[in-house]
Amino acid sequence: MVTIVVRLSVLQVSQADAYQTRALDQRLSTVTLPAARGQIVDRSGEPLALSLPARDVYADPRYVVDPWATAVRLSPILHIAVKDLLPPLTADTSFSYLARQVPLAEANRIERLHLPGIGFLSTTRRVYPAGPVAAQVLGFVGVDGTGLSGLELEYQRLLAGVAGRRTQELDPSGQPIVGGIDVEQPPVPGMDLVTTIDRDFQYQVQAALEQAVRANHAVGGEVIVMNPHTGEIYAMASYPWFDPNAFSTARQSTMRNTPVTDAFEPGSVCKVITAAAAVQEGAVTLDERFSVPDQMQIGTFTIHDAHTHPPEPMTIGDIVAQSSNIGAVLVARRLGAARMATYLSKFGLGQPTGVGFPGESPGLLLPLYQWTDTSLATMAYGQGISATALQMAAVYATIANGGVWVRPRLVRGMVDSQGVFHPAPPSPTRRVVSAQTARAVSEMLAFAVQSGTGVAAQIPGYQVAGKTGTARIPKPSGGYYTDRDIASFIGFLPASSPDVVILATLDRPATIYGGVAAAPLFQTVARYAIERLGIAPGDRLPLPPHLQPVG
Amino acid sequence: MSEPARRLQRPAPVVAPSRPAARPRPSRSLPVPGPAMPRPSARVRRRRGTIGFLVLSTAVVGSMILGVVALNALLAQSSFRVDDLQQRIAALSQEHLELVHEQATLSAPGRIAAWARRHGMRLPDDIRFLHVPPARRSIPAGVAATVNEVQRNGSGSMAGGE
Repeated sequence: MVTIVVRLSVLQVSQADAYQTRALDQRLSTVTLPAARGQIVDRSGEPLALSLPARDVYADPRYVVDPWATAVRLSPILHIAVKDLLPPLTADTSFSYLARQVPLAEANRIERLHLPGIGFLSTTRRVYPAGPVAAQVLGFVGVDGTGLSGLELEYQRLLAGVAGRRTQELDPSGQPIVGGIDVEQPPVPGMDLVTTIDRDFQYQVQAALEQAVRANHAVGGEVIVMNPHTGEIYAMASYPWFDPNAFSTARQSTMRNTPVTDAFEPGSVCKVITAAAAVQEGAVTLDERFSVPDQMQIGTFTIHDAHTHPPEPMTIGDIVAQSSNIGAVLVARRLGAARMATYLSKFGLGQPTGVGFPGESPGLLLPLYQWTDTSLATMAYGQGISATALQMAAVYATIANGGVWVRPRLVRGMVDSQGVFHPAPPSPTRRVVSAQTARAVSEMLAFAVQSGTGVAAQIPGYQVAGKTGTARIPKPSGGYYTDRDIASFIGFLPASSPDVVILATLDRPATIYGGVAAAPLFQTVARYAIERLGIAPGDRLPLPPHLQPVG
Repeated sequence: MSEPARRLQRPAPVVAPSRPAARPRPSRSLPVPGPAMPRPSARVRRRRGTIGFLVLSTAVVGSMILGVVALNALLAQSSFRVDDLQQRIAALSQEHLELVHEQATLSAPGRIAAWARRHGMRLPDDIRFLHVPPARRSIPAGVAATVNEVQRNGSGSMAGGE
C-alpha cells in the first residue's frame, strides 16, 4: 500500500510535468502547409507558368491484394505500362510512388476505384500553357516544386512563398481532438513574376527563327529583341528549344538559354565598338581617308578582308558599311591597345550584364597585359574575344540609346498575394560615348544597311541601322574552323530614334555570311516588331561621309 | 458574518370553541371554516423546503447546462459552416485556377496559329506599312485646287480657261 502511494506520488507529483509533456508530444502533430507557387506572366499579364493542384499516387504494397489486377486498372489512367507498375506494387516496403503530380481528374478516377493499398498525397504540378514559348527563359521546376533553371530558379525564393504550419492534437486514430490544440500558421503564397517578355511576339520570333534555321540548314540560332532605352527584353529565343511541360524527356542541350549563357566570337558586329571608340577619342575624323588593302601582315599572321580587292579609299563610314577587316585594324591602330581595351570594357564585354539569369556568362576579354601583337588587330574586327548575344545586343542598344549603356532586364516587377504590383527598379545605366558619337555611328550603321553588307535587312518605309557579322568558330585546340561560322546581324530601327534593337544569329548556316543568312531573319523579326509595337518610321538620318558608291 | 437565522417558536394556534351546527349557507368565496386540520410537523415542512430547493437548483443547473450545450452546439455549427465555407473557397479557387489555365491554353499563340493553318489561313509573304500623316483641315479636293490656282495667279478672281 505504501509502495502504491509512493509510486502514485512519484507519477502524479514529481514526474507529472514530464509525463504530461510526453503525452502532449504523442498527441501533437505538426504538418507543413505548402505555399502556393506564384505564377510567371508576360508583360501583358498572360500566364506563362502556373501551378495547378495535383496528387501523388503511392502504393503500400503490404495492403495491395492483387498487384497484377491493380496494375492493369491503373495503367490506362496513369499512362504507365503495366510492367512498370508492378515493381512498386510488389516492393518490400510500406511506401512507393506510382506516379507524381497526377492531374486531379485522373487522381479522382483512381480514387473511385477504391483499390486497396493505393493512397494519395496532395501536391501541385507546374504547367506552361504556351508550351515551348520562352521555355529557356522561364526554365522549369522539379517534382518537388523547386525551380531548377531559368527564371524559375533565379526567383525561386519569391515565387515559392513561405510554407505554413498546422499543429493539432490527434487521437490514436489520427482524428483531431475536439477542443484540443489547433494552431495554424497560414502559408504565405508566392509572388507572381511579371516578365518583360511579350508572349505573342515571342512566339512570332521563335517561328521566324525556326524557319530561318531550317532554310539556311543551320545548327541553331538566337534572336533577342529589346528596348534600348529601358533594357526590357521583349523576346529572347534560342533554337532548338524544348517544351517545359515535358522537360524530363527533353535534351539537356536544348534547355540552355544560350543568348545569356553561351559566349561566341562575335566577329564583324564588334566593329561598331572600334568605330565608336575611335570617333569618341578623336582618333579618326569622319571624313578621313584611308587606303585599305584586302590583306595585311600582323606578326606571323595574315589577315584578310572577306573578298579580294585592290587598295580602296574608304572613310570610317565605308569601313563599317563594307565591313572591312583591314580597315577596322587601321582604325584600331589609331586608337591604340589601351583605349581599345577600355572601350571594349565600357561597352560591357568581359563582364556579366547583370540581367538576373542563372549561369550568365561574362564572355572572355583578355586583360590588357595579356594581349599579344595580334590581339589589337583581331579584336578590332571581333575575333580573339568572346561575348554573349545579350552583351552584343546591349552594345548596339548603347548606340541606339544615344551612347548610354542600359542593363538588360527580363522582369518588370512582382505582384504580391494582395494583388499589388511592385515594379522592379529601373535598369542601371552608364554613359559610354557621347550622343554625338552615337549619332555618327548610327549614320554609319544606316549606311551599312542602305548600301553596305546589310541591304537584306532593309524594310521599305523605314530606315534601319545595323551591322552584319560572320565570325569563325574557334577550335578547342587553337585556330579556327574553316567551314564553321556564326552569321549575325544586329540592328535597330528607326535609325534616328530607335524603338527596338534586334539581334539575329545563325550557328553554322550553309550560307555563312551574316548579310545573307541573318539579315533576312532580322528583317522578318523587325516587321513583327513594327506591327506589334506600333513603330513609326521616324526621320531619316543623313549618310555619313563616304567615298564608296551608294547603292 | 451574521449568525444563521434561528427558527422562531410560533405561538400555538388559537382554536375556536365549538359551536352548534349552523344552518347551511349558500357557498361564497370565503370558505366556512370547518373543523381545524392538524398542522404538518416541522420535519415535513423541512422536507418540503428541501425538495423545493432541489427542484429549483436542478432547474437552474439544468438550464445552465442546456445553455452551455446549446452554445457549444452553435459553436460547432459555426465551425462546420466555417469549414464548409473554407472548402467552398478552396474549391472555387481551384476552379478559378483551372479556368485561368484553360484560358491561357486556349489563347496560346501556337494553338491559334495551328488552328489558322488548318483552316487555310497563312501569314502574308510581305508586309508593307502605310503611315497616314496627321489630318489638318478637311478641304474638298476641287476647292483646294482652285485656292491653289488663285494663290498662284495672285488675284482674288477665278481664272478661267487656263
